[in-house]
Amino acid sequence: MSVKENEERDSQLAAMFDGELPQIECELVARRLSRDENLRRSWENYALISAVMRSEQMAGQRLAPRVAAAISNRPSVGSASSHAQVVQSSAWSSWAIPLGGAGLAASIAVIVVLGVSRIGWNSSDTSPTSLTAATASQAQEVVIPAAPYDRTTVVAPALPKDSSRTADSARVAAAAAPGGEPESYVTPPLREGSEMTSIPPFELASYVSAHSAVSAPMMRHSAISAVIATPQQGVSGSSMPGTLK
Amino acid sequence: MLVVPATACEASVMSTEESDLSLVQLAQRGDSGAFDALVCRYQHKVVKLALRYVRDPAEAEDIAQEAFIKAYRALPRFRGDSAFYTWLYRIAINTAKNLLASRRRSPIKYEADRSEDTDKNDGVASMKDSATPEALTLTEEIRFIVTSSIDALPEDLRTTIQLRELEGLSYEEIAAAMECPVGTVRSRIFRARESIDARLREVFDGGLGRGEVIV
Repeated sequence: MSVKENEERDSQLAAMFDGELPQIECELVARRLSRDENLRRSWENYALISAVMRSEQMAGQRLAPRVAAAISNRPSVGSASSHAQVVQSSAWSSWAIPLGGAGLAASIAVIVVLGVSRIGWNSSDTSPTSLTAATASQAQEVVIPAAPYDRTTVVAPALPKDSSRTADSARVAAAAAPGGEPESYVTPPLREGSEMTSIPPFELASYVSAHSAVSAPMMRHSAISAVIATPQQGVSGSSMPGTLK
Repeated sequence: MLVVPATACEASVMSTEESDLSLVQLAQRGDSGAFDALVCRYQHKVVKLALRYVRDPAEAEDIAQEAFIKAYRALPRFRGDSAFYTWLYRIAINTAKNLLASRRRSPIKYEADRSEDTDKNDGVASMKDSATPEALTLTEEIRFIVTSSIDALPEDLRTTIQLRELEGLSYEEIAAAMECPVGTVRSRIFRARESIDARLREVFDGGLGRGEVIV
């Protein structure tokens, strides 16, 4: 290639850099540029000159080799890296879902313990039938998400200021199903003639275990055990609002 | 006296868009050299953009590198609805923001999306805050080489390259301003760049390694 041809070629390169080359010539120069490393070096220096003249920030290192190396080192889209991401994602979900279930079960257990602790078990008329009739003015409502298709409502009565429990103050209502029948209750059957001040741990554990379908068995068991093992201060202590003596 | 048309920059941007498209189309067909040319062209702009979000120049370069890699991987989906640099610009901003979000860090004093034209010197200012003394020395050295080469150019070449780079005039506008044919403008700009390019090559080949030197 003669000197004149070289000049013409480089002149085209400079014009292309400025966006002053006709499109058809651009395509030819672009092909040359992609193949000719020496031409690309001039092209790179044009960018450097432009940055310096405009007092712009300059790249600290030549990025092009780094980018090219990174691109060649990385697997293409849809290959190993994507597969690794999918595996990682499923591994995450494999422990996250049981953990979430265990958290839900623990929450249910705590809410049940706190809610039921406000109910007077030693009342003479605290039968399962009367538990469904709590009045709105007396009630504090706690909504417990039990399963995707239903929900259970525990209604714990507000205590009078003197903390003296009457028969009407302790009631639990279950949310009625569309058919009018309660879907579930949160109160175990009351033993006749007994004076209960707390929920029997065994019954509570059995209830929560039976109604926590989404929790992982091991984690659920641990959470319930922790609740049961906790001293029943909150249940029988006098400092807690709504607590029975 | 030179008269500078108000719409010079707009005209220039439109043409640059078309010239980029040739390289983009080649790169979309798997030509890595064409993508390499796009990286060479926009690396300084992307680093400057990243420096609005992070203070460390090395970190800004990492962001720029990641942005180019993302652009390369997304290139098959680039349809040319916008200019290549506009598209790359958004990728770079998102890359920088993602980095900041992952590190729970707020952008430094630079606003994220302000106009590029209003802060030409901001990137340099932030660099001076954080770059090493060696890097700053090398930066100054490069600047000195380029500016001294420009000063050494004949007056007509110097004026032409300055009108192009500093004022953003198109060749036609420069020709009108300097009262000469467009072909002459093209030749002058080429010769000016060729002269500075030759000087840079001498310096780089003489030991001022590009991989370590330019900041």
